[in-house]
Amino acid sequence: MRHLEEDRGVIHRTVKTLFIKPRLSGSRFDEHSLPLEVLKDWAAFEELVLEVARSVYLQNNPTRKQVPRGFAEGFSLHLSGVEAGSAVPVIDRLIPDGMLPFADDIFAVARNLVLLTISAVTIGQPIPVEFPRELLGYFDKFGKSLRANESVELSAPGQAVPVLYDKAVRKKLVLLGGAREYRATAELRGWVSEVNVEKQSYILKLVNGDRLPGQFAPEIRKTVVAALDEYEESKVLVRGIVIYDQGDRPRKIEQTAHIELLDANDVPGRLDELALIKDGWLEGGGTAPSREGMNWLAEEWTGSYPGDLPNPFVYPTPEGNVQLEWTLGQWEVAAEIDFKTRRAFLFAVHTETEETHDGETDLRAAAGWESLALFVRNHLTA
Amino acid sequence: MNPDTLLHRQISPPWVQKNRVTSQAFRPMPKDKSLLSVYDGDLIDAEASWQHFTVTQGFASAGVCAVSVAECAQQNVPARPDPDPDGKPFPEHAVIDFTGKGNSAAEKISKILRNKAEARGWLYQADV
Repeated sequence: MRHLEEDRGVIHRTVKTLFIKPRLSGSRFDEHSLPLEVLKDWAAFEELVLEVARSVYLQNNPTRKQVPRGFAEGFSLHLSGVEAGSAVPVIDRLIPDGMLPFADDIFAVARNLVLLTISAVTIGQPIPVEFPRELLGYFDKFGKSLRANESVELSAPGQAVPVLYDKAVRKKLVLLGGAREYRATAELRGWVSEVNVEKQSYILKLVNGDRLPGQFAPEIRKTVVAALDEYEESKVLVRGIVIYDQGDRPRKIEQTAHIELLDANDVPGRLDELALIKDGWLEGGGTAPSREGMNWLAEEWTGSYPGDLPNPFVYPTPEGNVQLEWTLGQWEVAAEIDFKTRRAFLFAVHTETEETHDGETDLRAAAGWESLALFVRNHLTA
Repeated sequence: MNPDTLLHRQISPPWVQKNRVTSQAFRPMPKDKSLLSVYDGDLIDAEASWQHFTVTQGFASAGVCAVSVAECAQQNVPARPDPDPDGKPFPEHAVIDFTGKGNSAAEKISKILRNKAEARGWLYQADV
C-alpha cells in the first residue's frame, strides 16, 4: 500500500507492508484490544529485530565495520490495527520510498531468525548459530508484560505454523544469554517495612519473609509512606517491573508503577499466607490447601466479589480447602469452598436467637458468585 | 468439673487471622469421632496447658481460648473428663461430646461457642 504524507510542503512517499500479525491469548485480550502496557513489548520487538538485522548485515558483509548510513531509519514498525482472536495486532513496516532499494529483505531475515530462535527454545533445541548470543538479553524487554496465563503466537506472513512465545520461553531465552536474572511485570503483595524518602527507596516484605528493595517515583511517595504506617496490619499491592532469579524468586522491584494499600482482610493476600502451610499443619494431620485452588480463588475473588461488601477472614480446613468467615453484627456467616468441585457451602447463625440459614452455590458460574454475595448481603442488612 | 469450669482449647496457628479464631476450632474433625479435645481448667491453667500441648505433645498452638462447661451444656454438647484417652494417662484431658450432632448442628454450635470464647478473650497467647 502506498501513502503520501505531507510535511512542511515536501511530499514523502511511504510503502506499508505487513511485517507480523501475532495472536495474543489471555483474559486481558478477550475484548480484542491491547492494554497500553503491552505496546512496550512491541517497541522492544522492533528494537530486537533491528539489532539482529544489524548483526546479520555485518555477518554477511565481513569487510564492513558498520552498517550503511540510514540503516536504522529504513526500519520502522507501526501498529495499524487490532483484529479479533483474542487480540491480533496488525504490525506493518513503513518504508520511505527512498529506502526501497536498500536491503529490504534483511529485516525480514532478522524477523525470521528471531522466530526460529524462539521456536528452537520452545522445542528444546539449540538456538541457530546465526543468532548473535549477545542479543539474547533483548528478550528481557520483549514480552516483559506477559503474565503466567498469557501467550503470543508469532508467525511471519505466509508462515503456516506459528511459534509460541510465553513467560517460560522468554525466561529460557534470557538465561541462555548468560543472565542470572530476568525481568517481568508482576503484582506482589506484602508489607512496606522500610522507606528511605531521600533515596526514594523502600523494602517490600513478602509473606514468606523475603525482603525486596524497590524504588518509587515522587508521585507515589505519600502512598508508600502511608503503607509504612500500616506495617503488619494492611498489606500493599505493588505492580511494576520485578527482577527474578533463575529459580523464579523475586529479588528486586526495579520499577514501581503502582502501589495500593489493601484492605486488612484482603483475600488474595491472605491466600498468599495460606500457601506457606505444609501438610500435617493440624496436630500432625491436616492437608495443605491446594495451590491450584487458591490461585483460582484469588483470581475469581478479585473479579467476582463485590467491593462494597466486607472481606471475610479466611482459614484452611483439614481437608485442604478453605473456609471464609464473616462476623456481621450478631450473625456468624461462613462459606466453605471445596476446591475440587468449586462449590461453596453457605451457613449463617444468629448468635442470640440461634436462627440459622444455609445454602450451596456453584462458583464456576457468575450466578454462583452472585448467590454468595447475596447471602452475605442479606446478613449484613438483617 | 462444675458449670463454671473453663475448658481450654488449643488453637492451631493457621486458624488465627488478625487475632480472630475460626469456628472450626470449636467442633470436632472426622478423626475426633465427635469428641472435641480440651483441657480441664480446674486441673491445669491455660499457660500450662499450652506448654503441655506444644512441648510434651509436640504440636503447634497459637494460644488458648476457652468455653465453660455451662456454655457447652446449653448447646447440648456435654463436657466430661476423659483422663485416659487412647489408653494413655492424661488426667487434665476432657472432651466436649458432639455425638449425634449432624454437620449443620455442629456448624451452628461451633459458631456459638466461638462467639462465647471470643467474648472471653485469649487466656494465653504464644509470643509470635
